[in-house]
Amino acid sequence: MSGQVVPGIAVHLLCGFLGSGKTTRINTLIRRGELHDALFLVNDFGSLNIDAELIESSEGGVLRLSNGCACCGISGNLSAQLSGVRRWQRPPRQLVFEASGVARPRPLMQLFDAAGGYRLDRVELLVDLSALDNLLRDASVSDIVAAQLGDIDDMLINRWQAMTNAACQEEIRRITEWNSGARLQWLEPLEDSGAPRAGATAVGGPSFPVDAGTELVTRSVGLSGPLDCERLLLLLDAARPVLLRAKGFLRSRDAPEIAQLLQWTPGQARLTVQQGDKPAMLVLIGKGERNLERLAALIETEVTLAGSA
Amino acid sequence: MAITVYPARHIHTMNPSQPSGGCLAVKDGRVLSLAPLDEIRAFGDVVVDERFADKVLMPGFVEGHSHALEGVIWDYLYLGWFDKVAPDGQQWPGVRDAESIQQRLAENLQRHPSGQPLIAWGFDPIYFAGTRLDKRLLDAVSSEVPIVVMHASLHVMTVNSAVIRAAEIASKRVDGIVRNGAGECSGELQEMPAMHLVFDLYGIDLFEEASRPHALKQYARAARREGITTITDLLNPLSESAIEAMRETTVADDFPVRLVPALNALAWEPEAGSERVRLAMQSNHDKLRFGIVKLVTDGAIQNFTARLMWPGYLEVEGNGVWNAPPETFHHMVQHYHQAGLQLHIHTNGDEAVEIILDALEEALTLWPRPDHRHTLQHVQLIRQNQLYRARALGACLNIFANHIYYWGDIHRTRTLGFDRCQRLEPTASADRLGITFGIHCDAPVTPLSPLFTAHCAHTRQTASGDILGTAETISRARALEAITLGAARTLHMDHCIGSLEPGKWADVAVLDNDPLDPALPLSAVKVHATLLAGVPTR
Ligand SMILES: [Zn+2]
Repeated sequence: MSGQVVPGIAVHLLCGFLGSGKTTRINTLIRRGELHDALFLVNDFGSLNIDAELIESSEGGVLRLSNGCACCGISGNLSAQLSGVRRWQRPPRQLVFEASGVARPRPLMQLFDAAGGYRLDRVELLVDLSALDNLLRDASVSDIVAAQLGDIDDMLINRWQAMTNAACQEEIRRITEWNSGARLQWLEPLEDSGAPRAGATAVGGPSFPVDAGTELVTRSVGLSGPLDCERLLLLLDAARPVLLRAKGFLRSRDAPEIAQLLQWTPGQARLTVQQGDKPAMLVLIGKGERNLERLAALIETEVTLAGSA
Repeated sequence: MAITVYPARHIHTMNPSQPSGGCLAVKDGRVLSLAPLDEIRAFGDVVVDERFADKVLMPGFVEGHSHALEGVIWDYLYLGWFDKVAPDGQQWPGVRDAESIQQRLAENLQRHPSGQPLIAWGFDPIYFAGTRLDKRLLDAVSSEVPIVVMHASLHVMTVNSAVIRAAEIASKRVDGIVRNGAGECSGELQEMPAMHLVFDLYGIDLFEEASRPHALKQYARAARREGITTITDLLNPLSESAIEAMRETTVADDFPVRLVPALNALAWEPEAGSERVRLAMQSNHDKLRFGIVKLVTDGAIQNFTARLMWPGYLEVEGNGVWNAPPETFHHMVQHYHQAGLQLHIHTNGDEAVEIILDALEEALTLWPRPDHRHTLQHVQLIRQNQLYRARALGACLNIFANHIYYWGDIHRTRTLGFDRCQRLEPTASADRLGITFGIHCDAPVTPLSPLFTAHCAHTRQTASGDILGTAETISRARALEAITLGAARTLHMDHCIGSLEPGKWADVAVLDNDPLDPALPLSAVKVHATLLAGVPTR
């Protein structure tokens, strides 16, 4: 034991926006047995879906990181966490760091390269190819997305399956514009829990042009009678580029006697059984008056009328 | 229990139906009456306490946005540009040139325990045009004892050669290690990846220290000195040890303020976060009140890290930083709103304000909730249409008025330019629209002193004496309301604090001078004492 050279904790850094598949990537690594005695440090605030059993079998643990006060500076407790972990009586051999979606990779890479007791082993950027266009157009995050594409060479591409070949090619062209040394790896479809997560170009679904207005609007849709729940979710998912939230009470054709609360956010749909009588109606929040009008009309004709026909 | 009556030269109650009085009668810790003494006697026997007979009384001040870090930072040596007062009352004159910095460090070194690094804070390079603080300047004080000077922003530090050697900084490849043309380290370390090398070596963790009883006591002491009776800690980890430290510290009879800590939402998965607040609320008592949640969206204007809308920064290309993806903020707002908790959301730049207004609109459409009082914090650059939206959404504002004095000159010349300085900290516009608002200092970013904060909102005077945007000045009376009832409303506590009104807690700021006297600047009004629940604090 003594006198042995300590090589430092090997760091595997995972970057990428929310929904790009970072957590799924971690699960894949665990399942493949590529991680040994690993600690997971998570700096993102979506839901953490790592399978608890899988983590236990890898003898690691999960630590959650907080972001600090931007007004008084010091970047969260990352510095303190790193100091603490390496002084554990038995420090982990590996550290898997799931960076926040808005993290700029270069400073993090340098941190793990320079910090005592650690060494940067592997850096990967997860890319949701179907969302890239929207992210790069979004003035509030485009600079950060560009920095991520520029800083990291190893990119793991997700959610390309539903895109046309031409659309894929176009996005790849843009990626290489940001980073000519990019090495791409095409991942298998994500195994998301919950409702299917259709992209903008979901097969069989209608499309919604994003430029039909970007102002935030709200629209209510009255639902007459039990409806085709599956079709409704398909429509909502297809409207993902313009739809931010949907919420409301409904009755499904499969179980018309029960009122259910639907809560839909991009990539997630939850139905919960409600007590008592609820008004059957749906509230949609999204971008562009015309977009939501169109979605509302589609719901009325395809979901409710078709449902009762 | 007996009735105690404090006669005073004058009492400003902030209660619109009874704006002034001559006597304050207290019973069971609450305001019983502000009537003339004869009328008070109708309630029973009274004990008249004359000690404040020549003083002016106001409701105790409410600091709606500051940090317990203020109670830690004074354990280190102060090297800031502005004069400041430590919690123990010691006056620290600002240091304004390289020689003064070296002199103060050298003096301190004589009393410094050997083997320990000498740590200083508060240095603000933005005020040192020309001279750059570097390792040579610090080596002249000592090249043997490690010296670490934290800058005011807490994003940068300067260290001497002893630190560079010990932390092996010269051999590291990090952008934030500043080097000269020949590749030699200058001693300046920017941002966390570079500063971590020093934190890690010496085990420095200011935020951990801020959760300890010592820090809380110092913090309360500093607050009391400035007439504050209710203070926030607006970014608390709410760890078990932090909750326990706050509980244990605040129950003590001699703890002189009421403490309102906010959960740091970004440290928790949303479900766990709201559960945490609910759990902490079981420890609530008269002097400790959990229940609010803090969300930090962007950075700070003076560090060029606030998220700005067009035309961005004056001197620097590119926009600021987000603390988490905008989508996460939507998600968090939804969650905590739906959970029935009150949000305090740090939004410095106008782009940050925009994103949060969108998120609030969304949340309120889905879950209408009357009188939610979600509060946008700082809102330094909030635009007129955003103010209008904030009102329509029922949001409150807590405006960073101190910035006008401390960085106003910098904002005009380097970060924002003339026009946006006219609307910077738009208290008058908020007032015209009838929006509920407070004003704050964000200590330790600027010093704790609600009267000084009110002075800034009233005069809009910068450190150089310039006046920024006279259209946004508010009257003394409105400024005083903002540091009492206004701030109390943003904390949803105006049923028990913020004005001297029968039934409310008898929390009082005792002043030597009348703050409404136009002959005396608000910044010159002296705090004599405070009462908490009718009892003079120590
Ligand atoms: Zn703050």
